[in-house]
Amino acid sequence: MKKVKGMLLLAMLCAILPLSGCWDAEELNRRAVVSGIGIDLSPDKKDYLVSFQVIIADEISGKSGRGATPTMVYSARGRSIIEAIRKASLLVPRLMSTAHVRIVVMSEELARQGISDILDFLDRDSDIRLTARIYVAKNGVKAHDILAGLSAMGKISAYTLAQKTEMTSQEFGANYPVEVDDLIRDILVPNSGPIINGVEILGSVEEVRKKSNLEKTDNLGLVRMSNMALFKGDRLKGWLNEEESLGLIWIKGILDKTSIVITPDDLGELSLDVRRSKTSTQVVLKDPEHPVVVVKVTAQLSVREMNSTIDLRDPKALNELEVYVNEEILKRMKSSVKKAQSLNCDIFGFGQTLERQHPKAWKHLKGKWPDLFPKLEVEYHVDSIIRNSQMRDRSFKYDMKKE
Amino acid sequence: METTKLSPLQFFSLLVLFQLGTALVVNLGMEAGKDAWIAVLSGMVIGAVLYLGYAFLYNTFPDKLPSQYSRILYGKYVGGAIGFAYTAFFMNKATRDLMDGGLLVLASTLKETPLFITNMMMMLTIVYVLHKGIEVLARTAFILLWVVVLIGIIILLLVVFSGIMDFTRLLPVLSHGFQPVLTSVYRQNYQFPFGEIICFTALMPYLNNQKAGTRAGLMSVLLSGLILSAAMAITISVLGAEIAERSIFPLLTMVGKASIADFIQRMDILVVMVLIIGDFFKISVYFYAAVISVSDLMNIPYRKILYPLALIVLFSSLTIARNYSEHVKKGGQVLYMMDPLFYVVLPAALIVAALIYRLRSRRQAGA
Repeated sequence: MKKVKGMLLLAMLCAILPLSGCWDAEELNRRAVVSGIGIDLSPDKKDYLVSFQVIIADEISGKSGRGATPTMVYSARGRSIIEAIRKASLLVPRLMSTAHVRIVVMSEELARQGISDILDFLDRDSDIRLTARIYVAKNGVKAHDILAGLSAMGKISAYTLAQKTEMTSQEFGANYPVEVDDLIRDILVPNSGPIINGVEILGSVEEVRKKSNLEKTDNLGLVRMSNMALFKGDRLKGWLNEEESLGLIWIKGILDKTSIVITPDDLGELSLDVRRSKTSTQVVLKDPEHPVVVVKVTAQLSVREMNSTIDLRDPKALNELEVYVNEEILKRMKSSVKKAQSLNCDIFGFGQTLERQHPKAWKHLKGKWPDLFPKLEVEYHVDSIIRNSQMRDRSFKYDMKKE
Repeated sequence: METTKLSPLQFFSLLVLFQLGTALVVNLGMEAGKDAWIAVLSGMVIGAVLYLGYAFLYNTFPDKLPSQYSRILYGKYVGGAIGFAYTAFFMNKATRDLMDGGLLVLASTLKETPLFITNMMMMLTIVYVLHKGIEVLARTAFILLWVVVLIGIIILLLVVFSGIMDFTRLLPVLSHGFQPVLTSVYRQNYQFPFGEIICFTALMPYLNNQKAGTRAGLMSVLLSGLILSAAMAITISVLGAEIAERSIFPLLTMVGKASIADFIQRMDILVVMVLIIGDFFKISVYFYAAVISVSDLMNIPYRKILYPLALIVLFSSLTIARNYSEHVKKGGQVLYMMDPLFYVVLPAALIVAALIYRLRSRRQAGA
């Protein structure tokens, strides 16, 4: 009996070890949750100045808030991002937890110098997911300033920015979400490079970080999605304008929705929504040395606004309008191809399409691709269909004219 | 020998979990680049042939352990040596898998935990289950197979509906010809994880239905092969071949990428669960095969030898390699330089002997 008791005691003592629970456990009240990371060059250009947008949980929950800002931005210098994270412990009393990072912003200065040195951390770290979004701060704005911005809708401005990206890519279509793995894949494509969303501050950089900015109906400063940056390899080479971005997205076939304004001769202006669009890219190798890219687009549209007297009851009228729409779409795609060819950067992945469709031909064209791409012939076939015209078939201007 | 019996379904579950084990989470067949999935499928075909060979041995000696029939076929000394060689091999594999699991869990989730603790926890659980007997292990496998299947379905739905798959990333198929695929198969894919089922020869004598058991085994090889191949194809289609190749834990990274409406996301911890479950069965079966062979060869009761051997596995798992790279490098080399001896050469020798044995015993019966 004594022996059994002794064994039981021993077993219970042993159980103390595993029962203490997870070795790695760190409770939430000991963690500083980082929602966004910003990377700038330090003033002497030797180090990185890494900023962290940290969520202040007390202010989010509302009960125990002191009326301070819901997020706080801390910056630390380091040769690498992880060194800066470690050094941030000089400023932050809690464990920096990067598992919820949604955005990573870098300054244009850094982007022009090359971003490959900062990417490994984002790729390797087991806390940061590959779904983190990447941005370049435009117009000399620092990445730090973007993170410091407050937003009226949604308390955590890093998450708000991620939502803005989502929303504008669905509604206007001149941007699309770019995540860590997209970036890494694209950097590895020879004679090409990633496309990264630009972000800028509308109005005052000083005001956007103040809480008082949110106490007016018209903000003095606002963090805004901007044009997309074109990279060659890991360096920023230029910015695409709206038309070029739309063209790129159209060729890539990832467009959700956008609007098109056409002005048919003397007939006023019509605005149409693109509701659905499909793109197929084919590389034709009639001449094995000179591949031709054939881009086929079929788009479905609906008439949304019309300052014109056209009678849309007539299918012929719609057919005529479709020609104008085709031209508009064509213009966007052409301008983006022109831009890419002038910078000799295959952002559309035509090289990859060629490789996938003609693996054998690609083997000997691969070396010549940097010479081929700037002169590459691209054929476009645009077929758009205007499906409907919302609630009216004619504008009231049609009646005005009649009288 | 124990008088326990395994049903074909339990045997099937054990085999499936064993083969998915670590293979599902590491980058399998990545020497073939984006054609890894073809390499896995080819490995599966060879693995199925190997399995039929092992099953032939079992059907010749339906109620004998490998260490027993190797002595019948090759005599006390040579047969005994083969038995001991297999024991050492199984012990080594159990050790390696313990290290595998420990290092992967450490690298991905439990960064601060010492390796000794994770390995000890795993070994404690395994010893506990094996102390209860192989039947308990098999029943556990049957339950946990459903857990793994459920997780698999959740992951699949998640990845499909978050729309992150791009199958053009698998194109062009076989862009560098068949050579890289063959190299990958030769170096890795038929041995790992399919050849590894050689250790199930030590479990087969416990099957309660010889015919159905054999068939269940073959089915398990085909099913695991398909699952592994599909998992690699999906991983590459999500991440691209380059990122998948550089990952030490590609499935985890891939699932981390999936998110539905920013709401259902960060399900990657499920993959760690699959790893731990699979690794548990892998170590258990290897370890059990080693223990049962030792107890048979040296005539020591099974439960007595279980604990000392567990300590050997635990401590050698900590000293087997200094880091993950060394561990993987060694494992990769052993896989095609050493392992074929145990998966192909020795079984072939046994099969030839068994054929002669069959012929002779038939002639004797006829005479």
